[in-house]
Parts: sequence; C-alpha cells; structure tokens
Amino acid sequence: MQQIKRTLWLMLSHSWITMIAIALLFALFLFFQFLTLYNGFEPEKSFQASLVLDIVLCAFTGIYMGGALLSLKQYYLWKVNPNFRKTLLKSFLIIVTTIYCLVLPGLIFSLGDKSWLYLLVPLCAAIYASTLVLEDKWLLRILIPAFPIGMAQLPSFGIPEIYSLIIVIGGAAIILYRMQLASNFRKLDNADRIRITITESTSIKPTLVFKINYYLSLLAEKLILRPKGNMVWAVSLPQTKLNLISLGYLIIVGVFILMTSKKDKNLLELFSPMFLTASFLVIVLESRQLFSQVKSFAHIFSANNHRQLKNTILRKVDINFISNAFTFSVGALVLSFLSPVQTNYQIVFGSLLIVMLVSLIFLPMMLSIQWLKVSFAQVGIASLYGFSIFGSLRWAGQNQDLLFQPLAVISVVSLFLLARAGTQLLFWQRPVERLVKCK
Amino acid sequence: MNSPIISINSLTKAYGQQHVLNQLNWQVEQGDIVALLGKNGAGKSTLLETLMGLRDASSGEIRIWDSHWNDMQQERREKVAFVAQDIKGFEWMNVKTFLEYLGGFFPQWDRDYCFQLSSRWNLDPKKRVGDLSGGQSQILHVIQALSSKPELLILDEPVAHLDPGMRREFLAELIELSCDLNSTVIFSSHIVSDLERVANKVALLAHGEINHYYDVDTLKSSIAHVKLTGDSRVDKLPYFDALHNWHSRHDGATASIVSPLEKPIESMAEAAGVQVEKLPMSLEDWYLEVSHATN
Repeated sequence: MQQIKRTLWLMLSHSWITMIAIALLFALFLFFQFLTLYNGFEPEKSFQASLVLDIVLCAFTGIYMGGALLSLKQYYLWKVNPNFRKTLLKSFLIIVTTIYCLVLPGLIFSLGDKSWLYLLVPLCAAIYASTLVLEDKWLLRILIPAFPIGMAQLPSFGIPEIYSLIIVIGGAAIILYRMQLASNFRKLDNADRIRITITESTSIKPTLVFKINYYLSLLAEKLILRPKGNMVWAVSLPQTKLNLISLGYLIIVGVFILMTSKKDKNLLELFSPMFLTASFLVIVLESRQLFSQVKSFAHIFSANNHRQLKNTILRKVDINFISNAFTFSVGALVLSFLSPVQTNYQIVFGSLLIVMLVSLIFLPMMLSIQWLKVSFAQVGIASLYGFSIFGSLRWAGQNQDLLFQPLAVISVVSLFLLARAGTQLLFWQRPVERLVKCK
Repeated sequence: MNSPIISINSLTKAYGQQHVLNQLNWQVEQGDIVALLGKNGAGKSTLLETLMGLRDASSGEIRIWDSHWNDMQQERREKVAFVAQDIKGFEWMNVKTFLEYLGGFFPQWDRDYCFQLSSRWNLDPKKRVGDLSGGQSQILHVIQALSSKPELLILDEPVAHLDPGMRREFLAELIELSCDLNSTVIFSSHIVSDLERVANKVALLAHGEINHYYDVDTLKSSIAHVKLTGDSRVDKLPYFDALHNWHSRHDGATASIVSPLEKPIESMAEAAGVQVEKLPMSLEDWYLEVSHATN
C-alpha cells in the first residue's frame, strides 16, 4: 500500500504542469457542465454534452497518466518484478478512475433511459487514450484510439448501440490485459533516447519528425539557406515538431467540428472554445521542450559575444512561436470557414491571440527561470490574460460603436507590450551561463 | 566448489541475421565476483540483459538458481539487482525519493546503509535526478542496487563514468557485499585494472561465446611473456601449441602464455632443448593479447 501511495504521488508529480492542466480542465469541465444545465438543453442534448465532456477530460487524464506510466515502466523492474508492474498499473488505474468518478455524477444525472453501459465510456476513453503514449508502434498509436471512434459509427449502419458499446468496453479490457504483460517492456532505443533528450512528447514519434525535418532541410538548403547547410535542419527540428503538434490538435478538433451537424449548433458553440483552450494548454506544455535545443544551437549563429548570443536565443524562440501560432491560426481559420456554424469566429480568433501573445510574453521568462516556477506564474497569468482578451472581444462585440473597438485593441496591445518588456528585462538581466544551464 | 547460481546452455541471441550470442555456454558459481570483458559490440550488454530476462533469447536456456525467469518465485526475483549501462527516466524525482521508492520494491532494502552510502559518495538527497551528472547518475543506480542487498548483482559497465577514487570505493563495496552476503556479482568493464582489484573470475566474450573463463589468481600466476633461447632460430613446434603470439628470432623465439598450461613451460622448453625465461604479464596485456588473438 505504501508503494502504491508513493507511485500515485510520483505519477501525479511527474509533470506539475500536467497536474495543473488537468485541474484546469476539470474546472472547465465544471463550468461547461454548469452551462449545459443552465442552458436547459433537452435531455438528449444534455446527455450528449455530458458524455463528450467526460470523454474529453478522461481522455486527457489517460494521455497524461499514460506518460507518467511510460516513464516509470522503462525501468528494468517492470520486466522482472511482477510486484512493480502491479503497483504501477494499480496506481494508473486509481488516478484515472478517481477522475472518472469525479465526472460521473453529471453523466448519471443525464443518463435517462439510456443503457448503463454508457457510464463506462469515459473510463474506456481514458484507457484508449493512454495507448497514444504507451503503445510502441506508431500505427497502433493511431489505430487503437481510433477504434472506439469507428465503433461509434456502427449505429448509423443499423447496428444497435449496445453492440458497439460492448465492443468498445471489451476492447478496453483487452488493452488493460495487454498493459500488465511483462513483454510490454521496451528498453530505450536510440529514438527514445532522442525523444527524452529533445522532447517528451505525448503524440509524435521523434523518428517521424526527423524524417520530416530531413526533407524540410533539403528544401531549405536548396531554396533558401544554402550557406547554412545542415544547421537549418538542427534548428528547424523543434519548430517542425511544435507545428506538427498544433496541426495534430487542430485536426482532432476539426474532425469533431465537421462531424457535428447543424442541428447540434449549441453543442458546437459550447465545445469549440473548450477544445481550443485545451489545445492551447497542450501546445504550451509541449513548447518547453524547445528551449534546451534552441539554446544549444544558438552559439552557431552568433559570434563570441554574449549579448548577441542572448539575442539569438530569444529571436529563434520567438520565431518558433510565431510560426507555430501562424500554423495554428491558418488551421483554425480554415476550420472556422468549414464549420457548419459561423458564430465561433470570435472565439477562434481570441484563442489564437492568446496562444501567440501569452507565449510571446512568457518566452523570455521561461528561458531564464526554472520551468516549475514559471509554470505556476504562467498558468495563472495566462488565465487572467485569456479572460482579458475574451472580455475585450466580447466588449467590442457588444459595443458596436467604432470608438470602442480600437480602444479594446489598444488596451490589449499595451498590456502585451508592457508585460513583454517586463519579462524581457528579466531575461536580459540573467547571466548567459544561467540562461544556458536553466532547464 | 560452489554450486552454480547461473547456468547458461547453448544461448543464442540474434538481431536479424546478426548473431550476437552464439551457442554460448557458461556457469557462474555462488559467491563469485566475475568481470566480463569484451570489445565494444562483443555482446556484453546483450548477454547481461538476456541473463536478466530483459531480452528474449533466440534459443538456448538460462537458469538462475535452477529456475527460468518466468518460473522464478517473487522472493527470488527480489534478490536480484541490475544496473544498466545507460539509465534514463526518473528525472523529475529527487535522489531521496528515487532511492526510497525503488528500495521499497526490495524487502531486504537497507535504508540506513543506502543513505550512508549516498552521504559518503556526496550525493545530495535533495538534488533532482535529472540534474545529476553522468557519474552521479551511475552512482545513484549503483547505491540503489547495493542497498537492496542482492544475492545476485549484475552491473553493466558500472564504473564507466566514475573517477578513479569513486571506482575504488565502489569496488571495495562490491567486495564487502560479496563477503557479507556471499553475493554473486557479474560486472562488465573495459577497465582491466579494476578486475584485478575485485574480481575472482574473469570471462572474455568474443564471437558470441565465452572464450576464456578463469580464476583470476590462477590466470595471473599462469600468464607471462616468454623468451626461448637456443643456439638458433626456434620454430613453433607442437610442444608450444598452447603459446600465443609466437615470433621466431635468430637465437630463439618470443611468445606469450595467455591461459593456464597443462604442462609447465619449463618442461616444454626442456623437451625442445631450449632455455626459457618468463617475464611478467599484466592482465591488461593479457586482455589485449587474447582479444587480438580472437580477431
């Protein structure tokens, strides 16, 4: 029992920012759950809203706890000590089930005359989602989480819902069985080592990113930056990765939005901001992996001058983020055009602004102080900043008077410039040795 | 003679077409401290990891305490500790948490001894594992393994990142562990001078097999450079088949003894009608000679 308690704590503390993200997601969940009740949806809609919210929260928990489990199960004891294996799995299940139990009452409340098997769906979502991280093979990482989505389509072919539910639950049981096998151990291969050094991504295999970077570097070398040669590849690696992650999340959100019919307009309006906010959080989480690599390559582009080195580090990271925000913007705007409802334009735009501006504000800070300290500050201030942007947009939307809109823009821009100047000052005050050493 | 704790029969491990271990046979006895030598890529890590059940063998059989890994009782498994060559993970934990957490999976884990070692080896318990240097990280895993008081301890290149002072201290702990608990220790290393200090057996892995496996004292007393002097050039006669690195000279020959001989070299020389002079050979020279010969 003592070991389970320790494992629970280690899994939860595996990534502080993850813990905060889950807590924020839970707060969002409560907020949207409240909205669904407040908006007085008809029972069917209310059930759908609860189910989707539960699935999203449990899936995120599954992914993040899967990451923690992966970090621990790479130790040799996983293979040779059944006690270690059981302890890790029990702890994983306890965390996932606790989150599941917290979200369950809303679903029970709205279940009505639906099958009770629906109550197990969020738990299954967590288990399926964890395979995104835990599975060794890239193909399985896609196919296993996609399986329940495929099964959810069965009723449209005339197959009773109950069958697809049984298949999905059975699949989750098989995944759990596979999880506890000793053979489900992999030693760190070279690609994993690179992954741990460069990034602990939850989604994209580093070898794939390397391949993409290789082709990008060839292109860049030939067309744009011939004199810099392979260094382009080295520097473009984190950037490509982050962009791919942004695109990945946009595709997930996009599939959901496009699958939603016009009659579910209310649901769409409800979930779009939640998904986009979640995507934003994930991108910020992933972004921290950028720094060490950008720092280590920065000296290539600067002379023996600390000021220039600092400037190069800051500029490279800024460019990475702006390009990432651009990728996100283009994707999200395309989505907003394809979307069956047009009302979420302001929300999409607001989210993009948050991604870019908040990142730019906190970049110098994240480069110069320990991530743990900055995590708390960042999440708190990001939330405030997010609310201020949404508030401004809403205010501008309500006050159609042309005078108010520029005022809103000016206030946001001023706030941004002021905050950025402050964090940049902190960055410049740090000795370069501290900057490079800081993880 | 002690009973074998590890018994390997016809072990083969192949990666695709490449056979890293090839019909390997080996027995390790209780209480032995065995140094496993071999060139880079000889398959030392593969052998140790297969031994630990971390890799599946292509064919053959490994028995530890007369059981296969899969059939081994939990109590037995907990008496085996392993330190891999390059360990990643646990970066977010601090040293104290790491040691206490993993120690909790070994019932015989000695907390006092563990923190006594970490204090003696200057490992700050509050430091994050991710912030440790390569050498410190290796020390951390070695401490964890030693303090679990294993009966079988397998270490893959445990001293590769350690400075000479730390290496000595670590090796002294290994001897103490072996004396206190009659533990069996197998460690791979490139640093031959270490094995002289600590190991009582030495094994050389080459071409997927254990080519040489000797008692260190017997080996040290046997190996030598020899100078054979006669009236004229001495060619390699059948008497001298067991000698390596034979060079005929105008007044005799030079050669090396790299393994215990069945007959003393003096009697061979007498039969060949030459005089023999033995010059000392270090284990490092021996390793270079035999690894050159296996090429």
